Amino acid sequence: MLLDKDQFQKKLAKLQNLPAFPSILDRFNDMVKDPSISMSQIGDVIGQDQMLSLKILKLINSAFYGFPGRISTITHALVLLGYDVVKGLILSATVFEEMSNDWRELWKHSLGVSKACGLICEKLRIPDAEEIAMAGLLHDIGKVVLILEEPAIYEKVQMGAAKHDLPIDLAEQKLLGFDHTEVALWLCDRWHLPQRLGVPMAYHHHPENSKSPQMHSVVVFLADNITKAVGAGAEVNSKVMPMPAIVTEMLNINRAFLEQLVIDLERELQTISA
Amino acid sequence: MSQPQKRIMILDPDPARAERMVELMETEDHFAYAVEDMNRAMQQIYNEAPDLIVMTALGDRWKTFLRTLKNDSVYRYLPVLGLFAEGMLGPTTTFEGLPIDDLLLLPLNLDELRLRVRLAIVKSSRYLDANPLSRLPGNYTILQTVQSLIDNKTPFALCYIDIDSFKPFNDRYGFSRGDEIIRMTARIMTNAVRGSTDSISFVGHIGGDDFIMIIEPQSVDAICKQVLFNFDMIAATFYDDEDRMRGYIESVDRKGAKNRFPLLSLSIAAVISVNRNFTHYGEFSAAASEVKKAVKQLDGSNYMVDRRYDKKEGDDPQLALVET
Repeated sequence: MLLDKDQFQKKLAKLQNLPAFPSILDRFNDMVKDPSISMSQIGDVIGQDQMLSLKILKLINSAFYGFPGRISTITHALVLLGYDVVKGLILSATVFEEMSNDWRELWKHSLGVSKACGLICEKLRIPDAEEIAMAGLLHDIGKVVLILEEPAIYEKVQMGAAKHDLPIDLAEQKLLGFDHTEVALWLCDRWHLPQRLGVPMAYHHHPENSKSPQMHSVVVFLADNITKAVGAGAEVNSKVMPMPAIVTEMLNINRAFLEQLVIDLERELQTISA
Repeated sequence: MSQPQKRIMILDPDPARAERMVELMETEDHFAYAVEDMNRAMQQIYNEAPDLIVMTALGDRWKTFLRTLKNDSVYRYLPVLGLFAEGMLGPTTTFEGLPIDDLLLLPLNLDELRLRVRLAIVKSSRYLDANPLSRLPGNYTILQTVQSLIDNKTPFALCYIDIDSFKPFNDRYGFSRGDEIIRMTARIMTNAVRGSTDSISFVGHIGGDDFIMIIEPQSVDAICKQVLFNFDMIAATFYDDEDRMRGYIESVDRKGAKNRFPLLSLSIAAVISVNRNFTHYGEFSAAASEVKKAVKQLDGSNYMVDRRYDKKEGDDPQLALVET
């Protein structure tokens, strides 16, 4: 194995500084100066950055505030933390010096999945849209942390996946002994993030095995694959996975729905890359 | 407004030293007085509690005295500053049996002494009245805040907040999740009040599921609406899916009958100072309780402002508004 599981878990436990993207920080700084900007507008901007979102959810679910594992959306976190705390948290975020291509692809993919979750929930009138969209934004956080903490090793994993034409999670399992969904679960446990985020993050490849809330996992699975289908996969060789029966059963969707979803998502994603 | 002088009690069996301490401590803000024996000290404390005790005598009898004092829930909040001569303390000294709040070493640095005294007094008012659950200030601070606003004739609105259906929630999910609701509610109110740019903004925790907000009268509508909206939005996430979807809690009472309880909601009763001739906190609290009864009759989260109005003798309430 390229990584020792226990060692890596220990490393995660010490993970303190989650870097944020400079573009988000710049926008936030501008917003802070403008008194007419509302909390929900700030929430929208934060909701585009995995690391900032994670930081905020980590803080509000920490034992210090006294309701661990309860808060799963940025809107709720902003209400409970308050403007000053969020401001401090964001201003103290470390900035990425440069964004590598890996990063950019992964960020675009995550944001795409988050938007796709929102679209699916809206079209099918599924409740908890913001929560599911957050799970979508964070679903690949395990990859993010792996790239962040073990860049050289993870590059080998990505190369191995490309060379043998393997899905990334299988390559991770072969070469690391665990995959990025497990890493996401460790983080969720460690930081007392709600199950309602952790479950879809952990089961986004296999919603058929998902614990409750299974609907969350189903939506994130579909969103992940639709996003890959429109060419915004996390990796160059990202593959659309075969759809388990549970997805069409629980969502009660047909081919026409999926085709329309692709069109709508493409339109949404154009505004992101701009 | 001018702060009343803080009272500092100096406990020292040596009259000459005590006298010197009094001279050192007396400032514009602080009134110091020396007490030489234990009985008189007790008497003085029960008669009119000082804001700070400075102890130079820390023999065993005085330690017992101090422990007795600090064991009492009311006097636990009285800060005690211990003065120690060189050699009395070592690196292994522990303070489990000596419940002082801060210490100073002799010989004294006068500037440091005054700073420590000021800090000890502020610290006690800052932290010691706080509710351990919500960390909000408790009744003592609430009372003082309201009274000083009344005394200064500053217009304010007193809002009583009470969580509806809290008991069935606690029964269903246990007190630990009930505590989470209390903390969540405290945060929502704190942030709503802090978010305004008003100069009067205070949130206190009366106890249990009762809170208080003291805000500017013109902000009552905006802040109450925000608090209610945020509470309803977030409280929903503290239920298990089954109850949340159903929209009510089911429980079995002592007779074995099934009861339905509505989900948590918030009731706020507001009393505006300029509408009334109240001169002390008790009157506000009584008026607010009456309004609270009315607002609790309504389903869901609501707020209600006391529209009753006292005719004032000579003193035009509109003027009171203009003065500030």
